Amino acid sequence: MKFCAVKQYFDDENNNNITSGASTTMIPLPNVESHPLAILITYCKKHLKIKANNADNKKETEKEMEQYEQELLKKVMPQELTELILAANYLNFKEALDFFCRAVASAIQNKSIEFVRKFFGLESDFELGEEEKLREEFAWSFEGVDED
Amino acid sequence: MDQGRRPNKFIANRNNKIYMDLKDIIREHALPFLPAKSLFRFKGVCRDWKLQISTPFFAHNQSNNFHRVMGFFCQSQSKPPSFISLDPNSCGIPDPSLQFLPEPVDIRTSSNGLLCCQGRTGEQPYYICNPATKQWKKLPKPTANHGSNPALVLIFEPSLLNFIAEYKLICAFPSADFDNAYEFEIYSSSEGSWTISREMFFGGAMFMPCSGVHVNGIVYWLSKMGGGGIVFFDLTMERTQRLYSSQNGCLGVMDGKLTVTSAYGQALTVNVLSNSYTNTMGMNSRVKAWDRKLHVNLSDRSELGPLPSYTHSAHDQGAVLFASGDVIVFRCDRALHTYDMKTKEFGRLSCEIDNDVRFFGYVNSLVEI
Repeated sequence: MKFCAVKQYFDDENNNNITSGASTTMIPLPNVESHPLAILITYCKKHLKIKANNADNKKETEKEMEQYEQELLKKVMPQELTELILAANYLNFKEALDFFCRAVASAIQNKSIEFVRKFFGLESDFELGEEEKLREEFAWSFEGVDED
Repeated sequence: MDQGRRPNKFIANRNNKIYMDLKDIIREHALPFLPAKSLFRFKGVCRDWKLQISTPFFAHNQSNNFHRVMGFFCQSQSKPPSFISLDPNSCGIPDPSLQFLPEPVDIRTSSNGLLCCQGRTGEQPYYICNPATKQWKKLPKPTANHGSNPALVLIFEPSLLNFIAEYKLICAFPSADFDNAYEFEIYSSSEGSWTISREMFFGGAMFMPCSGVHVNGIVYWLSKMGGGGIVFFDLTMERTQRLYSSQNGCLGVMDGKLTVTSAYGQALTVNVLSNSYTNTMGMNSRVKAWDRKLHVNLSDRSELGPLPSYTHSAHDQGAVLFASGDVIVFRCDRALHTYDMKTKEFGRLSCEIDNDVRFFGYVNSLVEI
């Protein structure tokens, strides 16, 4: 089971109950909204299916997974990425977390500091002048940044 | 806890990792996938990020997660080096002409974010540096005389377990004691010293500087004379031998295997060494060592102009300057073109280069020396 947070609920039950209980037990996930959860479930099912299809061939699995991931990224809006990351982190779903984090890294790679702050809802906690100093010291890294 | 952001209904327990704030998750899981240029810029986002990006542990993480060659160093005879980025917005370095080093240098070889350069005067010492962080280290003097244009290969493979960057530098140089022979001297960063290998190559070949690559513990060079082809040195077995190859071109590494890439006769061709054990079989073994990986027709690409015709000239690498990972860089006249093997797209780099240019791939990594 890939959703490690959910798996914990089943560890306490003994073997008899697991098969019958698995399909009917209700597990509360208060911190995950339905939309990202649906995407994560689809991702998980696809991942397991591709793995089963290409049991011996790791390279094929990687290639197919990459193709699926490219398709998925086209459908997901950048803002949704943050919700997907939060959900994947809460569910402790490592593969999805890595994938969405890589996707968000590509999305912010060329962006300015202001864009990044707005995107993640962050605020600057630097003192007056500290940020200017950093901009001066690393001026080369501010060249060629995308317009907001 | 929400600090006035968009409202979210988090039921949280500060001590439990699964309830981390978004910014902490991004800081730990997304930042290591970024190139060095973006990371230096994002030090200005907030204090937490600045602190995280500056730690040695983060540098180790990033060098393990970020492997893409996104830029190239090039240098012509005795001129200062310059830097070309595949994507200038996201890959960059503070000082392309490497003036942070104590003297003017010639770049000799590169590997995963580290450069090996050689000073031009006096004892011509070797330097290992990271051009993104401007850290550098001068290597101790080697035992043997490596000559004026040494055939060097830097081997640095980031690994999860090695927190401190461990690298080796191997030099193939003409033997002073035997004619027509080459010896090998290896520097190991973990031992901090040079060792001359007992193994020597007798075969009348001349190892081409700047042609060497490293794959799975074996270092390969292009060789001129004595039959041409490729010569390799196996670091684990300490063995050297010639490797037969039907094609001349630029050596590279793709999907963990040795490749030879050439551009002539209106086509870009990549051959991959699929069976590296044929060299242990009999002389007349019929086992095919090389497979064709890629063949791209260039004749219908009018924007490229005429390719140089196939020739065993002094520049045995021919038109292809770099071919590893997913990127091939080749030249038509003085212009540089790229081919991305994943997207199958051509591109053009906006710069002109001299005929005798030395070309090195570079990964925008934070690795600490």
